[in-house]
Formats: sequence, C-alpha cells, structure tokens
Amino acid sequence: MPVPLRQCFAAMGCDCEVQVYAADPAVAETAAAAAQAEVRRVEAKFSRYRPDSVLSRINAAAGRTACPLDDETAGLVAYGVTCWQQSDGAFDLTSGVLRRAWDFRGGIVPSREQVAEVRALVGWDKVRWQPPDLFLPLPGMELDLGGIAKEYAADTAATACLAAGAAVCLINLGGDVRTTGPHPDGRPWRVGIRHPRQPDRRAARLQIAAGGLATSGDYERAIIRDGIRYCHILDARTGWPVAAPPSVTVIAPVCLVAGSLTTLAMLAGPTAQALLEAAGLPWLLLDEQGRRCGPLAEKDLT
Amino acid sequence: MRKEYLTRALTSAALALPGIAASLPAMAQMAPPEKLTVGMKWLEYQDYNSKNELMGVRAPYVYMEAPLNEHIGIEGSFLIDAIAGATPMAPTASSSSSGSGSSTDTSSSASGGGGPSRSAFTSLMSAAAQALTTEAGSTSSSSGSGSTSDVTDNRVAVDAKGTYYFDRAAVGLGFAHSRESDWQSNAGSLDLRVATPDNNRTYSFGVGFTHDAITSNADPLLDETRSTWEGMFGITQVLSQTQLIQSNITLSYGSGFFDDIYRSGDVRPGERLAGAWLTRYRHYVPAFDAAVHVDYRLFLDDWGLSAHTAELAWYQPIGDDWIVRPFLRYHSQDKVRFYDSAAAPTTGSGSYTNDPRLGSFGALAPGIAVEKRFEDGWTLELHAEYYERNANWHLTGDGSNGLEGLSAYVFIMGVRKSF
Repeated sequence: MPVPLRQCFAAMGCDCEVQVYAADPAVAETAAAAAQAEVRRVEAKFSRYRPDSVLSRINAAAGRTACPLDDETAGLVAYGVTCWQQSDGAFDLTSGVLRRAWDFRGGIVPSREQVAEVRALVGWDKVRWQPPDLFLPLPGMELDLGGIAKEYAADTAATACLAAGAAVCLINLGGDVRTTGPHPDGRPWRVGIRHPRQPDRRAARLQIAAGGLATSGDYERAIIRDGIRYCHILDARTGWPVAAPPSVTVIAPVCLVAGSLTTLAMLAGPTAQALLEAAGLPWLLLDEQGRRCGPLAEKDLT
Repeated sequence: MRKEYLTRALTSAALALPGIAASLPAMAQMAPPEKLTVGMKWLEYQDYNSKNELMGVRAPYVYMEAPLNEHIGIEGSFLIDAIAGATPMAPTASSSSSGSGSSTDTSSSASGGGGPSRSAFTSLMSAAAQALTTEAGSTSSSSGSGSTSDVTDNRVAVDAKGTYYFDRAAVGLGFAHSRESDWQSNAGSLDLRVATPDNNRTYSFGVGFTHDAITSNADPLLDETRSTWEGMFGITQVLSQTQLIQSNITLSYGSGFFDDIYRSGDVRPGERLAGAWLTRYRHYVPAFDAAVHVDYRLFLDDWGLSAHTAELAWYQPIGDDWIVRPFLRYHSQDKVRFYDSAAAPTTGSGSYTNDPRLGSFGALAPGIAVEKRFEDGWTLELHAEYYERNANWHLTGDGSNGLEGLSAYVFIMGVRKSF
C-alpha cells in the first residue's frame, strides 16, 4: 500500500500539514513544497499583522482614499460580501476592529460603551465597494479577511500542489481540510474532530473522499466570566458574542464554502441546526458533552 | 432561508475565485446518473403556409435513465406520434438518421457531448422543429404543395443506450429503432469520452450507422434502402471558472435512396457527403447567477447546401427551483444545386427538387423554456417556440424566388420524477 509524503509546518497561526501522493518521491517533494509556498503566499498577502500586506495598505487608506484591489483580493471581498448577505449582516468583513474591545487573551469582558465605540466602525453597508475600488470611509475602519483566508489558502494550496505534479493531496490548515481525492487505493481520508471541552480527546472521526472539511468551535478562544462563555464568534451587528454551538463541522466541495458555513452556523446560534439543514450539505454538531448530531453523526467511525 | 440557496450562493461566489475551481475533484459528468429518473413529454407541433395548415404532430413520449451500478448507466425512451397533414407525410418525422445533427440540441449537456446517437425525442424535435429549416437529411415532404389529400400516420420509436463509466472516461453503446407505415429505420452508435486529469478538457469520439428501409403507401412496388455512416470528434474545454466552450465536427456519408417519394418529379443524387461544425459557448454571469449560451453551427454538403445557424440564449435560475431560458435562433442557408421552386422539373434530366427546405432562405425562431422543480423530485417543463421561414431573410438577401414561406409553433410539456 502506497504511503503519502507528509510534511508539517506552522503558518497562519496554526499547525499545518500537507500529504501528497505522486508518481515519484521527487515530484511529491516538489508538490508539497509548492503547497507550503502557496499557504505562505496567501498568509503574507492577507495578514493584518504585516505592514507590507495588501490588507495593511487598504486599512492604512481608511478615511482617506479608495484602494484598487487586485483580482484575487477583489474575489475574496466579493465572496465575503456574499457571506454578509447570506447572514443578514452577522458576518462582516469589517468586524475585525471589534478585537480592540475584545481581548480574548487577556480574558477581560469589555463594557457596553467600549463595544459600542468600536461597533461604530463596523458595517459593510458603510463601505464603498465599486469593484475593483474599495473605500473604507471612516478613519480606523478595517478590512479583515481572516475569517476566510485560511480556508481559501487550503483550496489554493491544493490547486498549487496538483499543478506541481501531485496525483492526490490533502491540505490541513489547523482543521481546515481540503483534499483533491481519495487515497490511490480508493480509501477516503479520515479526519478526527476534537472534543469541544476536552482538547486532548477526539469526539468524532469522519471520512472524506474529496472536497473540503472545516470545523468551527466556541473553544478556540473564549472568555469565561461568572459562568458565561464569551466565545470568539462575534455578531457584527451587535459586537457581542453569540450563543454558538460548541462545535460545528461541514463537508463541502471546497474548503472555503465548508468554512463559511461553519462560521454562519455559529453565528446563527440557536438556529444553527436549521441553517445547516437548509444548506443541504453533510454536517456535524457537537454539544458540550461531545454528543454528536447531524447527518455525519451516523457516519462517525468512533 | 430557502433550501440549498445558501450553499449555492456561497459555492458560486467561491468558484468565481482564482484557484478554486481548478482544484475541484472529478466532476459528475463522468459518472452514471445518481438516481432513477422517469419522465414523459407531450409535444404539439403545427405549421402553416400562407394558405392553410399543413402538418401537425402530436407526440407523447416516455423516457427513463437509471444507474445499474457504480459504473454502468442505462437510458431509454419510447415515442408514439401521430402526424396529420394536408399533404402526404411519409418520412417526415422519421429519419432518426443521417446528417440532421440538430443545432439546438439543448438537452445534451454542454460538457458531455454525445456521439451520433440521438434519442427518439431529439430526433422528433429535429424533425418537427428544425429539420424543416434545413439540410433535411431525410427526404420528407412536410411542407410541399403537392397533393392535398388528408393523411395521417403513426410512428413508433424506441431507443436504448448503455454507458460504462471509468474514472476519466465513458463508453456508450446505443441502438434506436423507428417504424411507420412506409418507413423503417435502425441505428447503432458507439461513443467515447475521455477527460484530461485536470478535468478541464474532454475529448469525444463517436461513430454511428443507420439503415433505412423506405416503401410507399402510394406505390406498392417501391422498396428502397439507404445506409448512412457518421463520425464525430469533439472537444470541450473549460476556459475559466465562468467560461466553457465545446466544438464538434461531424462527418456523414449516406448512400442509397434520398428522393422524396411524395413530391412529384423529385430526384436526388444517390450519395450524400455532409459535414457539420458545431460550437457552443457558455458564459456564467455571477452578478445575475445566470449563463449566456451562444451556439453556432455550419453545415456543408456535396449537394451544394451550406447553412449557418446561430442561437443566443439566456439561462436564468430564479430562486431555488425555477429556470427560465428565453432564446432566439437564426438560420440561413444556400440551396442545393438541383433546387428549383417551379412545381415540376424544368430541366429534362438529372436531379431536381422543389422541397423548400432545400432552397435558399432565412428563418427565425424565438422561444422560451421554463422549468419548475417541486418537492420530492418532481420537475415540470414547458417549452414554447415560434418558427418562421422566409426567403427574404436570407443572410445576404439571396433567397430563392418563389420559395414558400412557413410558420410553425412547437409546444412541449413534460414532467419527470427522480427517485
């Protein structure tokens, strides 16, 4: 049985992994390197931490001038606008500034006034978007593609890997998974889903033959104060966290769509299940005890 | 939120991004049908000239397609039509055969591209709606001005096709049979489709053979045959996330009896070599979640006929379960060498026809097709088309003098259910 070449690396703030099948080992090496390079390219381009990134340039022009966007950035913005429309504004590409009020690392719950202050800088409806020109009208407004760039990178890394000669590959960027097909012998890939309250435990094990798989959880970054869990999923319309399900997983043809659906389901809070059912794709919800629910629960291997 | 709309909105937005579509896994086009589908259609066709109604066709049609296992798909159809006309109808709608590869075969997928085999329904459509514009591979006489006796005829047609699917390829074997009182036709076909590893290109090859046996209700001694070979090669290429182009070349050679037995003095050559080049272009327009369809077909044969057909259509999904497709088709052709609109042969010898469909003319066909999906796998289809032929509409104004105009309408209503 052939064994894929497997490489692990750190990028986009998480542990990443690429697995490649190719005709010969040298090609597999090249293809894996191409995938890694692509992840780093997307990271560099859309990072909000790098002063030289496209994103930093756009944000630096807020309140001053419109910025023309290249095709790729414009495409991601257009995709983000679709998510904004589909979530009635709960998902918003300008919600990144809410971080100024929400310090999840410090574990401090902000005051209503603090949230309201930054909330005034949030809202896609304020943005002037005449493709390819984007203008953030208020100084301090920020465009943040962090909610979609990682999933997008999983997809484009898979494309790059195939283009470099891979027969089949799997890209895993911190749980955002993309694969171009099953193992050469026809077996699907197996993906473990973490228990939302016990980080070392696996709560489910799923199979994916081809496509994207993404998981979103309230456990990634959260503040627990007076028995209330403030998760990192913030509703852009209020600036406050939603009562999201502990863990949502979706399988879709591409990782980008899988990832947005998990985010939109989290934002839907108590109606997450209805949203997932309406989406018509395979999904899995986990509750705090790790109990499974959804079409993928029946296919769980554990 | 309506069912699946969310996913479709996100997916189409994602596919607009560079680098996303290129990574997609093998597309469904190289897989057997996922479900059993059965359906029926009802077609109404009526045409007129300046004086009166000429021909009507009324055809119920049933069809099915089903997966046999993960590698094999089968499909088949059965058609009965009643043809009524003020002129003898003979082989009109028959000829599931030869060169009339339809230019508007919208039922076949833009990505697949079948071989020469054609379903009974497609052949009916090409006979009823298009063959009257054309090259008319058949002899037929739907719109002549010959006899005026009332004629009705019934036709029964069946076809079946099996396809074996490999990872990136599919091989299909088909058979079709059609019979009416003075015409019997049998056809077989073999086609092959191969996709490249990136799935961006598909090659199609096909060969077909048709044997027709022709008799006459008016002449008991008439007993003729015709054989037609057909070969097809096509390429379908994904140009970008939003553009797709398909181009096919079909060559056919027929030998045997081509005369129209119900058209007085009609004598045609005993051989016909024809070629058709069909190009289809599909452009997805994300802003409207719609697609523009542009088709062009060039037909040439060694009888001297040359024909151009262009079709422009707008394919618009509305909400979750409606699809509306308005279209406009234009056709212009130059006559065969031996066409003469005079009612009787003017030259003493050689070939002669006054079949308007082999003359020089232009034609326009606007129409609309609507599809509505219901719960539980039911789908309703409606298709309405108006057709008008006019010598003055020839592309360069060189229409045949005295060529008779014709107008026609086609209505199709269909339902199908997937299990």
